[in-house]
Amino acid sequence: MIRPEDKGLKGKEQMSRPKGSVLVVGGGIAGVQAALDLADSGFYVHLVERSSAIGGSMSQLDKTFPTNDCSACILSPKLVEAGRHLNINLMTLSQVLGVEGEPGNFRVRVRKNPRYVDPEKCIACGTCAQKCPKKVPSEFDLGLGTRKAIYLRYPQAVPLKYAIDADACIYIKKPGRCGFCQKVCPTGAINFEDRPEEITLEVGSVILALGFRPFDPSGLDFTGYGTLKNVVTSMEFERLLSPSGPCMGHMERPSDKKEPEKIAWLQCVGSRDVNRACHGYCSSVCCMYAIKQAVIAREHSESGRLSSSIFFMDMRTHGKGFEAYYERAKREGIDFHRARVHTILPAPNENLRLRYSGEDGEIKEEEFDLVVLSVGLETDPEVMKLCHSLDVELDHDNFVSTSPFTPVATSRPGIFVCGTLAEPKDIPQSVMEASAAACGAGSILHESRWTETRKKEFPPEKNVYAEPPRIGVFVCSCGINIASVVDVEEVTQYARTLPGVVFAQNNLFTCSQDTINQMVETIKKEGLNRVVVASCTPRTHEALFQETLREAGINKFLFEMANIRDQDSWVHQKWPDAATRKAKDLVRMAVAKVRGDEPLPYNHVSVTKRALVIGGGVAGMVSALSLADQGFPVCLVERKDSLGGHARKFYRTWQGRPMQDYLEELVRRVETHPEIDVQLGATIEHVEGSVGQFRTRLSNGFEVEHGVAIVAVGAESFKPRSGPWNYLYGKNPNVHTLLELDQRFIRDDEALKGLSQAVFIHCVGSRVPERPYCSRVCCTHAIDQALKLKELNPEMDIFMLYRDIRTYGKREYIYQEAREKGIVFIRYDLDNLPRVNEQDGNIVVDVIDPIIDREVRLHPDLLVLASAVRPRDDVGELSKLFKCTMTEEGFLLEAHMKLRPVDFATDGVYLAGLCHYPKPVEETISQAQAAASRASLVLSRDAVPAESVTAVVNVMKCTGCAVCTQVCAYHAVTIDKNSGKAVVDTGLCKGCGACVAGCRSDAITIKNLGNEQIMAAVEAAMEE
Amino acid sequence: MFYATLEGLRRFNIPHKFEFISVISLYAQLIREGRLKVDSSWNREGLKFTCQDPCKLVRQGLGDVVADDLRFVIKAVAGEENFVDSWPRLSNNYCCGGGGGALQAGFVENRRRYGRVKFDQLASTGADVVITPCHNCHTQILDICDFYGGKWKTTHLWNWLEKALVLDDKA
Repeated sequence: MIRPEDKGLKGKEQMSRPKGSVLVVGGGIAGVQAALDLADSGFYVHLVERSSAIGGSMSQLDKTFPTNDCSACILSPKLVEAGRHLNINLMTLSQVLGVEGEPGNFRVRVRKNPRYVDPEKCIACGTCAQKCPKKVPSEFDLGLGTRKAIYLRYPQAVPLKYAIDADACIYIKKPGRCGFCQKVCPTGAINFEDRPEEITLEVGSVILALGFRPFDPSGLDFTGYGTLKNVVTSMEFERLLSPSGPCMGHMERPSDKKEPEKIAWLQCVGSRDVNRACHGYCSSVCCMYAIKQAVIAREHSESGRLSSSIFFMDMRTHGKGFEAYYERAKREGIDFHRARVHTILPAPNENLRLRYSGEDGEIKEEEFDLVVLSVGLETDPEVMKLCHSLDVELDHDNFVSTSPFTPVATSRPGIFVCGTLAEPKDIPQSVMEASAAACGAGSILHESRWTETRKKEFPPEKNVYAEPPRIGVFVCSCGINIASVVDVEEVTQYARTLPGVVFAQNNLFTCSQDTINQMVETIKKEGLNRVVVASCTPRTHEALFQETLREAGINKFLFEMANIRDQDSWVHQKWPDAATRKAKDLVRMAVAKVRGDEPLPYNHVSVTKRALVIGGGVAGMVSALSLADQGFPVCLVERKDSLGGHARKFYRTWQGRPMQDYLEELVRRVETHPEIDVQLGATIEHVEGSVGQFRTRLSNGFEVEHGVAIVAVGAESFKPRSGPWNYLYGKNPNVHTLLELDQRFIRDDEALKGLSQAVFIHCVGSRVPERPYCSRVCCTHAIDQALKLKELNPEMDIFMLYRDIRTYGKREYIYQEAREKGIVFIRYDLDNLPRVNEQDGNIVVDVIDPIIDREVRLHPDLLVLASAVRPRDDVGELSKLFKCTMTEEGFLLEAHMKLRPVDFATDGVYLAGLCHYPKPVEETISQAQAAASRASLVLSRDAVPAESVTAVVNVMKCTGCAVCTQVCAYHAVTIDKNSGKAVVDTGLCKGCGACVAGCRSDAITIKNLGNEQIMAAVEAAMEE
Repeated sequence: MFYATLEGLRRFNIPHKFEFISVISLYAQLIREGRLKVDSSWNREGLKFTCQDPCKLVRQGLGDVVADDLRFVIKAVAGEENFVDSWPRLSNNYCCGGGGGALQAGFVENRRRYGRVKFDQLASTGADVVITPCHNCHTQILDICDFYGGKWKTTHLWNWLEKALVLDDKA
């Protein structure tokens, strides 16, 4: 809402440019991602976090599905990056009080609460917490562990600075009584005089990423939560599993610290429950996290005897890779019971006896020694208050209201939302929305890009050519990830004995901000000119450590990592002695290699400021518009003769919004946008170049030069013309797929009103051996269609034959509505498929209803097949052109399932829409906006960094045979016409080494990966 | 009667001035105020007590307040240490299995089968006495105790209140 005084202001400031900065509220993964995207594309970001450290709920998790990545390990680099980013102003212990103004020009009042510790002085040595006499329950461990009144939120906290909890501190309550921390602090960082401060920020846009809180099951007395000690919530169980949790990753149950041997997970606690919990929605993530916990708990089980059971209503594994994860868990022996447990009884030895009704209707009893309640997600009342004060509308479940066509816009213009604040969702979806929200903010403020940002200046690099190697080795404990298996102290001692090593040190978390800062000092003080970090994987941490070297004035290529975690402690848990020997081997090899490393130049590629968007469906058009609205020219390629894609056949969203009206407007905007060049009836023939400078030839002969590409080629609907899922499709005129029925709705087909019975069969061609994934959209789509049929004719009998209803999130409400309206749901499984036959031209469906345990015969005059969404057959060829990878199922594979959901491993190429995985229109739109946001990171710059580790030609040996030019996948090597020798374009070279392997004269090497360095490492490996 | 009136007024939003108090809460109030003096020293043998939370009185009626009062009175009458609670309890306790006309309408076999859950729960407490502040529950629990061979005595609350009552000298 715009207040009268703001309107007056508008008149005065109308001509001025919008602000070039953005406020992001909430420092969880969504907020951090939005902040990073904006800060990297030319905006200054104020990131406000309520607690003393960023990281949010994700930092409390042990592992993440479906990749089983360590949550802290994949999150930590992002947090550190946000913490160190020159263009992110991180404000912890801060709260937003109010936002006034309008898009482009908001004034935000922020209250900074006292930390009582000067962050400039604190070195996080922890002496204060050791001496502090006051213990209180740790909120990070959900009360399962304790912390002191002066504390770090968690070991890898960003910023890594202690804070005093004023409610617990003895001194603050009664001055003069304690104050030990002040006495022992070696840097004098404790400041009891710290007071709250109110400041005003001027920003152009606001992003709300305030997350969720886990549902509190105390009110659900039948669970015994709060009374029975061994009933815990899933979030508490994450802490019990976590290496940084209260039992250091050695799974213990609360009552007697015994390792549980039999655990039950109870699904839908505080979700899909309109009776006691008052939350009718599905929390979307609990099925997957419960399976993950069941799988991970087994890995944690020292006895190896753990048995895990999951009690569920519908198993909702609707995301990419989720169904395979579920199937794997079943194969590994996790027990799945389709039952809602109604009673948890105390049993001897503080065990728990569960009573439930089995699928056969018989009451069953089973004893467990730990029960985990898979609690849902809800909005924190504090957050609700803030949203009200910001005039941001909430829905009746207290999530921020959004529309399917503007999935990250709130009711107040200029304020965007992302993550679980808008609806429960998983991490990739939250990250996607974070980028989409950044795109939304960017499109308002694009004129002011780079107006408020600062530029990073590194100190000049020390010339180390003439110096003998002075190598520093940093051995990481990674909490207990490494130290519980490898004797890190011994490895550190050993490193000191290696030739060239002048310094070695062991750290708890080498990636923590504090250690990083210390490393800079150590490099300078010890005069190091080569660094080895023995820790985790370069995939996540190399860039961080390399930047640390630059800050210390050392060329970043004088660095090696020894992966003593993923390749050692994690895989040799049962052989600690051998693992320690292997860690020494790996360190010795890294030291041998780094000794021969040379400083390399920092290459750049200038950026062609144009995007190529492939696919003219909703995803492609939204990405194109999102970029064009920010002033970037776009070439949009569509293989058909008109724009629209599959959305042309789509009747309405599940919220009831007509698709065709939206589509018409979208097509009109794309076609008339001055920055968008639409190429119809064209496909991609040939692609060369790489990020910043692509050159693409289309089938119509048109050539495009572009800096980035977005692949949004969509998918296809599976048509079961033959085979086991045929169900008379193509044989009887009254058998349709979902989209075919939608077309009848669009046509306003009167005949539909006269139908007396409709049957829908779900999972036609999905979740079957040849297509083992869930198509995500069909449950919701089918139920919405059934409701539409009921609107047309309330007397119609409708039967849904399903396997699991997967109406995740708020979609659950249409499932509830369908049941209220008398639509009948009959579950089937793969052993008892529905049988469809024709009798005198009429359809007859036979199916076993498991509830009444007998066969039911239906006589529908309409049979709708909710058939799979399948990848397009030609997607493989396209992916080869852009050097992208695909999943086994044929969908395109993103760079990282969790944290890089719209990027490809190939730089400068992004993906959106159904070619990534089946998804509804609102998710397609947010992913398309996210892809645009990621693409703007490149397009907003004049030049992007290019590979430094490139091929180099020894002209003395080169014979000009040109084999290298043929094997190079990046067209980076050519034969110089004058000299007749090979030359490498360092802008295009990716350092893949194909030319090195191809060269018959040993004339090409990769810098720092030549024979000299590699052989040194190999020889070191052979030493003892 | 009690529940029917209460629920009728509630369901149809009928304005009224009635206050619904169970006699249990009245006992509790009088004991707390010292107007009703009770002494548990009679229970030298340490008879163990448990109780039933009748559906109509507790879960559907007045809620956990009256169930807490019931426990307070039993503890006052029989000694704090002699009360063994059941699980589940309070609003979440099991139905006796005799409600809804089941006691009066025949179907004895079915009724006893429903009551088996209640029987197992009460038997697992090991109590000697089960207090049932509802005539329906009383009859059902009496019957299932007999039928399934339980060892406890099923009674109302006042039987024991009378035992523990301290009569004022002046009276």
